[in-house]
Amino acid sequence: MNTDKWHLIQSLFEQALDLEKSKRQSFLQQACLDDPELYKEVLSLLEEDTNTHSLLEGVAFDFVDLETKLNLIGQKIGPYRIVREIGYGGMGAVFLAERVEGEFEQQVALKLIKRGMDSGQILNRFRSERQILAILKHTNIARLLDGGMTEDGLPYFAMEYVEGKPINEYCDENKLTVKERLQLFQKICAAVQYAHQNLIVHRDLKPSNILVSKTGEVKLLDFGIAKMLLDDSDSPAGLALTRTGQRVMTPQYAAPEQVRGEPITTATDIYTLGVILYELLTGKTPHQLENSTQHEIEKAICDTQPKRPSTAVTKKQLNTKNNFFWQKPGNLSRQLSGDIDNICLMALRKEPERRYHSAQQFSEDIQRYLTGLTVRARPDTFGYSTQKFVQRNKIAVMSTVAVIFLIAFLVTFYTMRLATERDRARLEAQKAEQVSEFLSGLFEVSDPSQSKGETITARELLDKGAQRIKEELTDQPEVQAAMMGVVGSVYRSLGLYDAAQEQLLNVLFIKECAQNADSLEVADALYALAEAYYDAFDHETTTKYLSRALKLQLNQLHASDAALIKSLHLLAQTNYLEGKYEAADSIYKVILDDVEPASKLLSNIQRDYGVLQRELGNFETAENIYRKSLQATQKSYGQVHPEVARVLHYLGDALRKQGKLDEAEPVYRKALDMREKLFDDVHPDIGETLNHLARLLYQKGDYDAAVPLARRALKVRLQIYGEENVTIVASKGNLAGILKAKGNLDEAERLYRWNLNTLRKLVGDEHPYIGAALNSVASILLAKGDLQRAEDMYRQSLALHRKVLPENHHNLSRPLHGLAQVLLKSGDLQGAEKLLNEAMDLAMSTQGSYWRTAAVQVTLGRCLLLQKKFSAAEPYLLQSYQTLQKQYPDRIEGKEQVLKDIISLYEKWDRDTKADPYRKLLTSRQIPNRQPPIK
Amino acid sequence: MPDNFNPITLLLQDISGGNRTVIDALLPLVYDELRNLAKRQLRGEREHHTLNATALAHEAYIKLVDQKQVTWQNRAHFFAIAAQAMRRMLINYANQQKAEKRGGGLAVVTFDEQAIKRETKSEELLVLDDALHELAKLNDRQSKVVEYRFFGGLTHDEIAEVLSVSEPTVRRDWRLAKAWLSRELKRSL
Repeated sequence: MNTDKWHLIQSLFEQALDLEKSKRQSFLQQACLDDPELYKEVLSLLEEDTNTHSLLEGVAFDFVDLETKLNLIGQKIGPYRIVREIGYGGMGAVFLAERVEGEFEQQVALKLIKRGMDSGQILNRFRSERQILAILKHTNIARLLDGGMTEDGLPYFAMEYVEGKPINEYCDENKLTVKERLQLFQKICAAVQYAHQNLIVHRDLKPSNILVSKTGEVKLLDFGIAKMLLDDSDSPAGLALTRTGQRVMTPQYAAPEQVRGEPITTATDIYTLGVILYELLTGKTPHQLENSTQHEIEKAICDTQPKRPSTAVTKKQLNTKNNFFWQKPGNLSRQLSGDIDNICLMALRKEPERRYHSAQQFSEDIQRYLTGLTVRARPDTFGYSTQKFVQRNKIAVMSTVAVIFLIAFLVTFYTMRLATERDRARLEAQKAEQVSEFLSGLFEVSDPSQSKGETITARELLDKGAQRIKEELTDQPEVQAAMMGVVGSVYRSLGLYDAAQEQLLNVLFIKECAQNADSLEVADALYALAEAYYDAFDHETTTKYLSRALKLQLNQLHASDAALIKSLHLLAQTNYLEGKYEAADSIYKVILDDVEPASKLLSNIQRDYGVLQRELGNFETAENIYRKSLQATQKSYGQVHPEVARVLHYLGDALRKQGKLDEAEPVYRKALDMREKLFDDVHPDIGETLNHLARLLYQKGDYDAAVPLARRALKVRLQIYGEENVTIVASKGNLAGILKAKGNLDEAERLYRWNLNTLRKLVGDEHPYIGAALNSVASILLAKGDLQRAEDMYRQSLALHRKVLPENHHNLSRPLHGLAQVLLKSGDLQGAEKLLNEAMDLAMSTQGSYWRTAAVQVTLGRCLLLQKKFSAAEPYLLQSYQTLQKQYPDRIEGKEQVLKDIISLYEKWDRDTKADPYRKLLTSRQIPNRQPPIK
Repeated sequence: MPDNFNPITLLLQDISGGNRTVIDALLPLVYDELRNLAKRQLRGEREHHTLNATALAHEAYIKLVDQKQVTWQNRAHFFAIAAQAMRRMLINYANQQKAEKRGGGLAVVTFDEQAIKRETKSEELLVLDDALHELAKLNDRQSKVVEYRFFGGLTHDEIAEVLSVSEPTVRRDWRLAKAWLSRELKRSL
């Protein structure tokens, strides 16, 4: 083409445009009689004029998001480094990133929220939701790991990185059959159900949020994220926001209540699950919303009944580019017609309360279809009144009114209670209806005036529900008590003990009024209350309620009844925490015989019994119990579970305490690995295992490996507990001990001094902890050669010990030993010997540890050696070495010094030949095993 | 230093005749400024500003040009140059995206609603850029109209001023160019 031709084209194009549409074609035919190419060219341009490519309707800038345009690759955000971009959407971009702080390699999906969304609010919501989201641990749910603000003030979320394809693409590419699709879909239901049980609604489910890996593993992304981004009580959530240009919700997957700005509940997720299933089976969403106006979209979602899936599958559609042609349309349509139609449409009902009441029920109905049973879903006749529905499906209604899962849970709980109480008349239908009506209103808090313009948290929801239960159900005490019981246990699981106690006290009160005071229901209420006080460390009150419960249960229940065993277990634990080890021990011995084998109850009891044995110093017994418990726990909880990790950790402790360091290490590492898989990086359990593993490596003499672990443990704990906390003191003490051994005395001193000051604030000046902290600081001063100040401090500690501890307490040996070391260094050998003899007596007394005894022995031996009392020194030094060797076979720490002292003894004593075996030992001392850093 | 020594302003005063050398001299300066502004946007130094081509170019203008010294016509020229700079910047970016995509792994992680596949948009921009070069061969003015409007966000009036033609001419040029480019885009994608 040349410019002349182009000129002609322009001329014809413009002339044609001046004409009415109908006349254009004939005009062009006339004008291009001899040039059919020209005719085609101009005609096609005219066509384009009415149907222009969307790109040209805007400006270039709209199509390139500047925030991600300027290269973020390689930049650091929080502790993560951006590797590459993996997605992009209305809320921002998602990157593959890797953790660069800490020694752990971890790939995450980092979601960077773009500017314009309210960063401050998002972060606040993130903080308040974080605890709740941390509960979500499910293999099919991608975990939220972290969140924060970039240096530029943009909020970000770090999530588990998932490699996979959106579920619809996966199904089509692998040509899954209807049955396979349904089965895959059931996995999604299970994950959603789990989240709902934890009071978390997704609110933004869609195929791109549901990924399937190559191995067919399903992962749901972004749980809880939508809430943080959307939940804005003064603007209706969801679609409404699309009007302001923030495309935060996909109309195709939006439920009517979202479009209308009504409360979002678990029922919303059920609807969206329905849309997804519909799409998986027919290749399209229930409503075709492309090119629709806002108004049309709202109308379609709220008013238009979707086509039945079987009729939605048409020849035309199957012949399009969509990859859903693994079978003939007629065949597919036949498969879908009937039950599957009903199942999909049940989930897609406009009224939230008429859908499946839970994801589980949805999944169960699919299961019924797959196994050939009658499904629960019935065709939805137009004009079906809710009233009729209620009359025909009383039980179902009680469930379908569920507003959020809690309610579903309450109802299920309540109906189950009724079913199990055979001797009680069923509630009349009327009553059931009242309950359901009440429940439906219970948790509706969409009105901004009700929510005071703030985000509704689970706590507020619960408070509101609790309030209404209290005020409005007074005429139905049984229902009221059952619900209060459940709300109470939810409070408990959220760590809100006061609120839990209040609920459970009310339950007790109602039960006592309504029932015979000796009934087992009263006992149950007493037990629940005792548990709530136990959680809050109020052992006295725990015991009070527990003994009342036990009185009733012991009279009426068989020894192996689980309710009785649970009460006894709690009693044993309370005794244990109060330091009454023997009482606890005897209770455990009784219940361990009676408890049902291979039950969760058994593994819990074993776990706690092991802790008790460890506390009693019976490490070998503890080890055996833990080994048994490990098997039981794995059987009842599965291979990877917080309980299994806990038992592993305890087993590690028992081994370490026995000096079986080489055996303990892999056990700790396994526990750590499991806990890291299960929890956020910032979790008390991770801090615990890190700290103990660090301690173990220190005992093995591998200081270099121990330090970073101890530092990480400290970091984790600081994030959880804040600064001034006993746990932090313990953690800093652990780190300081390792640093001291490494020779890093200044930092160790700083840490110990901080501990001392903090403890003074926390426990006051006169407390055994202060004595221990004084010893620690003094030991650094001693190591630094600052003998005067070390001596002062040991003397302070000694005075304090004598004041706050019972006479002859074995802990007194510590400041005595320390002081003796100071005197020894300053040459006061006789003074040192006197103190050491006293320390020796104390250390040898019943409860002193082997380690302590060996430590005092070696110093005493050295003291005697320096006074040339060779024959007196010899037994102390040899015994010390033997004790260390026997009790701490894998431990390196301390042994070298003893060997040197023994050799020096024999050299000075002129019995050089006797030194030879020890010289050999000294040179053959293995270099501490250095494990590679944990992956 | 007196205001009238502002080199960009001086250059701009010289542009009236469409002096190619002057434009070539100005382009890199404007380009750099736009990039800087865009980067600062990203770093959050301009919080809550709506980001679009016009706003960005306008900021560059305020920064670079002494407005008392230039006429309205010079101003339009400045924005025309900004449009060229913007086109260059965005096309560079699109190329970079494309390269990254080629180098990237296999993982397909789509994410949240309306998951715009940005690579697709990058691809489209690159196709459009090529087509625009083709259009320039057929009618240079029309390609300029597209550049100023689509990349620079200039109004028809401003474009008319820069190109020294009437506003209806710009309108007509844009309509034909749009139809033609639309067809090229659909053909290539």
